[in-house]
Amino acid sequence: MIHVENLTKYYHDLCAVDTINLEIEKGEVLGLLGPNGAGKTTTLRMLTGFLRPSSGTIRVKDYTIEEDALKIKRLLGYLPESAPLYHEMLVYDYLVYIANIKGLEKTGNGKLSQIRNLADLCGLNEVMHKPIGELSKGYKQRVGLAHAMMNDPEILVLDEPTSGLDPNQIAEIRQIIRRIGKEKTIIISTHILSEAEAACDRIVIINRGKIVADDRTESLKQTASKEHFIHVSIRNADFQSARAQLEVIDGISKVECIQEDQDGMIDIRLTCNASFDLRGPVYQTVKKTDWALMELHQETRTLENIFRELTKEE
Amino acid sequence: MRGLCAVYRKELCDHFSSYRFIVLFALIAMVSFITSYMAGMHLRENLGGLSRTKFPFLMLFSTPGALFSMVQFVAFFGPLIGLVLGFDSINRERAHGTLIKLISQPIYRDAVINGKFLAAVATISIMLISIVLVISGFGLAIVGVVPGIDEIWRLLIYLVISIFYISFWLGVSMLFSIFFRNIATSALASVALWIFLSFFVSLGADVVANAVAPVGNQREIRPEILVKNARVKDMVSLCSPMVLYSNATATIIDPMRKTTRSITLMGPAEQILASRFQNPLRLGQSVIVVFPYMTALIALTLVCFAISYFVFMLQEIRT
Repeated sequence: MIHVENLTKYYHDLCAVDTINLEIEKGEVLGLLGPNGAGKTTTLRMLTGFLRPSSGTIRVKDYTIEEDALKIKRLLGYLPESAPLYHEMLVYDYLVYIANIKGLEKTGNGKLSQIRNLADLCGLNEVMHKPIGELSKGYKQRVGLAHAMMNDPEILVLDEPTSGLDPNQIAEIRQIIRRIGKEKTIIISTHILSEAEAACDRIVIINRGKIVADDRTESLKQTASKEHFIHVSIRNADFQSARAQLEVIDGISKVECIQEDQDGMIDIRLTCNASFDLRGPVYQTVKKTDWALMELHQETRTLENIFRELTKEE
Repeated sequence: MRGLCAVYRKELCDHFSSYRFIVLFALIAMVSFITSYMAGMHLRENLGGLSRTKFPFLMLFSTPGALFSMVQFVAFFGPLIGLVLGFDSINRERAHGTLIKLISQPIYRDAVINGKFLAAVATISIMLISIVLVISGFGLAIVGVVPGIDEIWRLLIYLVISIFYISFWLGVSMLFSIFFRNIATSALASVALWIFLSFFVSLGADVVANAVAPVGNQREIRPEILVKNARVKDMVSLCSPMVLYSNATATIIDPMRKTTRSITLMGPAEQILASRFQNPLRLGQSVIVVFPYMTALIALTLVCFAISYFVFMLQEIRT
């Protein structure tokens, strides 16, 4: 459905998106994850056709962005971050305006019936004749969603659709997205992992303009659940000797120094197989030495850990 | 075309429902009424005993009331309409983030700027036509003279020139709204340019004319120097769209005027001819006299919009 090849975008000397390759299948719900400034929004804006790539190609169905930008725009519905709207307009007038821009017919199954359907789908019936400026953030986001779906697009591009909403509004918007996701290809940009985990079939993590992970949500979750972390804080030890002692424990795959204080305190993270509880063997190993054990706790590895590992600042 | 029509309709609706437009329209309509009323009363008093007055109806627009005529008022304050309609047309959308949304729709990018410009031009046209029509009706009641075909044509031409004149300022303010991201900056830049071109160019013209052909301290000034001074002054003054507009409408709205020049050098024979032929210019001749100014004003408007168009089309819109 969407084929992205070597997509690159420079803002003057700054490389915002660096040679991204992506293949999105029809009916897939793809989560584009990354910290702020990672290049998610720039990627989406190039996909939606109004930001020109510095190099690389984007193909949607049989259309290329260089030659058929208008045709691609017709296939897409785009909800930009924080749903910018005309606050002085009534919801109904705004939707009519969008229907006109998207070229919906006045009669038959055209403009009015589509507006009615979207009002039902997005729960806008009770605010149709209110000025947009008077709506809550949640309703504004719903209006934005209705806008994005006005021409019944095959692909929906949602840029941080739940940003700034309260938990109830987030749940409502996610419910709407799930309902739409049954029929359409959806690309959601977010930095909220639970959102991607709950709504997406596939997760792509972007950092500094590059793709650092691309997998099905289930496989990423499985990868995460295969391993645990054990955090150990000890005093009177140096990291080299601690590592030598701890890495020989069966089931520990990685020993990392997280922090080393000047007063001799070391924080160590042990990556270990999730099928064993290794807190006992670790304690026994420490007990044999003259180190002072200050802290020992186990942490389940989650998607968030994977995200933080992949996107942490060097 | 679909996108253009949608943007045009929305913008037109926005203009007519915005408070700033209503306030400005009310202000201009009020001043025009007062000016025309004063002019009408003045005409009724002065033309009462005359049997055949030439173009009394047009005098309603060109005769100064208490301070200035309606034509002078449009020349001075008409630009404000253009500036008010355009100074935030693009950067407001940019500031609210709606420009991104608009451009991501399946419409050509130029539909946005074309729709906005055309809607503002339509608003200016409706505003000017309605003011001229209401003043005409008002004048009919006061002066009691029905306008002739020639006068109606002259008023139509005057309206077209005025629409282009105000549209020039609209183009300027739209250009600033594309250049400057801050709404206040674009408003300030537009007003500053209006003040400079409308009020300070004439001062500069005096300085340049006196430098090229000094007429200040000499006891006996040669006529050639005087004419040269006036010509240089006129030339430099043409940098001001207001002067261009005043010249473009001069012989149209006042058929008794035969030239747009402030001073002309005539020989004795020409003086006799001029004193003998006191009839007004025919419409075609009036148009020929001001044709260079008219075309210059129209070209200036189109060039200004074209610059806005290209800057907007080539600009990378990120926010």
